[in-house]
Formats: sequence, structure tokens, C-alpha cells
Amino acid sequence: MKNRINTTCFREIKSSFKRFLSLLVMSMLGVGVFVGISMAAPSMMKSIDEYYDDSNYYDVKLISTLGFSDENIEDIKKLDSVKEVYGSNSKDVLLNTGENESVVKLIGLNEDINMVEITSGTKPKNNGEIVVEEALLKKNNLKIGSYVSIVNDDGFKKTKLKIVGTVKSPLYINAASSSSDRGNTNLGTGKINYYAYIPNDNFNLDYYTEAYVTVKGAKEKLTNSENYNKLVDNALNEIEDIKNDYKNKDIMKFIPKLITRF
Amino acid sequence: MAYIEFKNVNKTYQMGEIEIKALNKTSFEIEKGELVVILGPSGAGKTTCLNILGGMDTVTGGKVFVDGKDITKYKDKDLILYRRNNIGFVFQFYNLVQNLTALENVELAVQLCKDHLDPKTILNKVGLKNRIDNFPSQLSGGEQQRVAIARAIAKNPKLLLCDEPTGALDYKTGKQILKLLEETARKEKMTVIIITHNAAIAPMADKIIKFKNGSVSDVVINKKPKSIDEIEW
Ligand SMILES: Nc1ncnc2c1ncn2[C@@H]1O[C@H](COP(=O)(O)OP(=O)(O)O)[C@@H](O)[C@H]1O
Ligand SMILES: [Mg+2]
Repeated sequence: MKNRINTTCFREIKSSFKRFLSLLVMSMLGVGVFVGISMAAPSMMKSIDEYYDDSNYYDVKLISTLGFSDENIEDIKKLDSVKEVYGSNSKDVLLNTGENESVVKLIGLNEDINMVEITSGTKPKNNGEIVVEEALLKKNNLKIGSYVSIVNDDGFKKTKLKIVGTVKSPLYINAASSSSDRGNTNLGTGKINYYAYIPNDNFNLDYYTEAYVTVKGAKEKLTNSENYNKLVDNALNEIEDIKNDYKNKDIMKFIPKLITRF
Repeated sequence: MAYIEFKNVNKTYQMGEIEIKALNKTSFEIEKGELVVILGPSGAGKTTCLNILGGMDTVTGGKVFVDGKDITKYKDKDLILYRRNNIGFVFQFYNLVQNLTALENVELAVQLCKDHLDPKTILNKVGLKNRIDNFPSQLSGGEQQRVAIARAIAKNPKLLLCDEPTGALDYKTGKQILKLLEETARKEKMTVIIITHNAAIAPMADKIIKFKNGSVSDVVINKKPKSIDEIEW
């Protein structure tokens, strides 16, 4: 004997097929939309994490009023929770781009941390070269091969710089157009217009202006997940301890600043 | 011990602040194979009583024995099995599945039962030989009620419970239905309980239980039940 529950279900569907079909389509759409929405956030988290891992993005950024010596960097490197420390230079300058001047953050090109992507041309190979944002070229009618110069600044060995390429930096992940936010400065209008990369050697400095720290085990964790934040908090506490050491000896003052990656 | 025993059964419905006592210390006994008629005014608790006996409702207090077992102790799962294997139920408004033919309605009911009877044979017995492939909407009220009775007795239940089975039918059709129930009780020796508010049909029963305000007011044992054919009202 047939299962009559199936018979009644089947006849119910058959007698109201249009209604059945529209309910089916509606619930399929609903489920699809819901799955899409619930998957969007995790997949965004995952892709940003992959991007950060690929570019070896920092976990903690340290800024100091007096800069960091090689010795300071070594001290921080010795901490248990720290995987690697990278000294780095940057300075905000006025850059003459021919007709007008822009406020530009010049960053020392580092091969190992916050790795940039050269989108066209080549890396700067010597002190007389610079790579800039695509947006700077467009806004100022410049091309690869054009020259720009740093206005009134003795912090650099060379100030007349040839543009050899364009660059995208993970530090400015949201700086897609020339109007996006790139942070503040005490030069010009107070707003940084562009960032650009030059060789570290072109900075006329005997210290680093900032230090980027990667934390042990953090790369394996999902950026900004609870586990990730725990690891980074732990590293921050250790760094805070050396900071107090330094303060007591009155050698150096610096602010460990967790720039959680966003 | 009798086949069915209600012992001081209470049933209260909580309607917000108000408690409604549907059954109040109801006690009666029914023997195996008896044809019983339950009489009483509307709201006296007849349906509540039959629902409890059919395992479709639970008591608030007291005990109900069926074939020596206390069904008030049954969990939900036990009650499902109890209903499936012991009970046939006939409702006032038939409750047939509209998407299934007469035959399929009976098949639906028996497909889970172990010792069921053949659906076609039963439909023949209730006089629906030529209507087995009709849907309920194509049948008259009396015919639908006969399908419902066939559905109940095809399960070969120990108890056949009928809640006002003729309530929605005219005199002649009602009489045919009662005749069918009487035959089932006498020939198959099935225990049949019929609720009615028509006191005139009481003489067909072996036992008449009268309900009033949630309890049994009177039990009459009828030594010489009349056949339904001899009764007029
Ligand atoms: N589910 C319920 N909720 C609340 N009160 C109910 C419920 N079922 C029945 N009652 C009440 O219980 C009493 C008995 O009802 P019932 O057994 O249906 O009487 P009848 O003898 O007419 O079949 C009535 O007063 C009725 O209002
Ligand atoms: Mg009733």
C-alpha cells in the first residue's frame, strides 16, 4: 500500500502549483539573500587578513618623540611576544610638483614590512628617485620620468627626485582617490594630500622615526579576531614595561600605540 | 476489574484567571464488548471525557484504566502508540482529508497500524462499494460519515469512540449510521461508545451513562437492548 501522506502532499502541490512555485522561489531567494548577508562579513574579514598577511603588515606601531636607535630596536626585539621589529622613517614635506605644491608623506621603502605594490615603473634604486601614488600623477599632469622637489627641508640627502614608478601601500588601504583621508600633519592645510616612497638612505637621520612590530603567532590568527587581539594586547603590555624602564632612566620617551590594524 | 474504569477523574481548563471544571470527580465503568451511549446536555463534559479516553487529552486528577493499564501515566510517546493501536475515533464533522479519495482516507489511517483490516472490504461493508474513488467533496454528509466510520474500524481498534456521529445528519441517514455502529458492536464484539444528546436512541445501548455538570449523574444498565430498527423518534 502506498504512503497516503505522500499522496495528499503531492495533490496539495498539484492543485495549487502556482502558489507552491512562488513560495518555493520566494524562500529560495530569502535563503540566498540571508546566506549572502551572513557570509559577507566573514569573507571581508578573511580577505583583509590575507592581504595583510601577504604584505607582512605590522601588528603594533611605535612612535617616539626622540626616535629609535638601533639599540632600542634590539631591546624591543628581545621581548618574548615579539617576532620582529623594523625601524622605519617617514616625514611630511611640501613637494613641488611643477605648478603647485602638495603636502606629501615621504616613507622609507622597506622590503620586509608593510610591503608595497609597485603598480607601474620600478622601485626607487637610488636617493634621487621616488615612487608616488597614481593619483598624484593624474592630478598634476605628471608622468613617470618627471621630476619633483622637496621644498625647504634639510632632512634629506637629495631633494630633487625623479619619479620612477607608481605605488600602492597597505598603510593607506582606503586611499583610493586623491580626496581620501591620509591623515593629518602640521604642514600646509594640515591635511596630507599624498604618500610617496623613497629609499631609507635618503633620510638624513641617525635614528628611526617609528618602529613596526610583528607579534609572534599573530599572522596565523584572523585580524581583529578575539584571539588576535589577545596576542597583541599581551605584546603591548610587554612593550609598555620597557617604556617605563626607559622613562626612569630618562633615556628616551616613546608612545607604544596599538594601531590595531584599522 | 472492568475493561474501562474512570476513577474520580478531574479536568480543569485554565482560561487566564478563570478555572473551568470540565470534569469533576467523574467515575464509571464499561465492560468489554458493550455498546454504551453517553447522554447529557451541552457543556456537561462528554467530549472532554471521550477525548481523555481516546488519549487526545490528559487528566488533571484521577485515574483512567483501559484493559488494566493506567493511561494517565502515559507519556506523549506512549499516547501516540495507544491512539494508533487501540482507538478508532468518529467525529461529528467527519474530519476527512479533502485531497484523498474515500479509499485513500482509509488507507492513510491504517498505514501505521499492525493488525488492520483491508480498507476495500470495510468500505464495502459500510455500503460504499461504488464510491471508493470519490473525494469527500463528492460525497453526501452521511456517506462522508460512513467513510469516517470505515476509517475508524479498519484500524481494528479495541475501542470505537463516536462523538455525536449523527449530529450533522438528517433522521434517515442518522439512523443508517447508528445501524452501522450497532452492527459493528454486535458482530465484531467491539467496545463502542457513542455520545449523543438524543435521549431517544438510548434503548439501543447495553449501558447508558448520563452526564450533568461534569460528573456522572446516572448509569442505567439495559438488560434487553432494542435494535435500532425498532426505535423511532
Ligand atoms: N479546550 C478547552 N478550553 C477551555 N474550556 C474547555 C475546553 N474544552 C472544553 N471546555 C469546557 O469544558 C466544558 C465541557 O465541555 P465539553 O466536554 O466539550 O462538553 P460537551 O458535553 O458538550 O461535549 C465546557 O464548559 C467547555 O466550555
Ligand atoms: Mg461535545
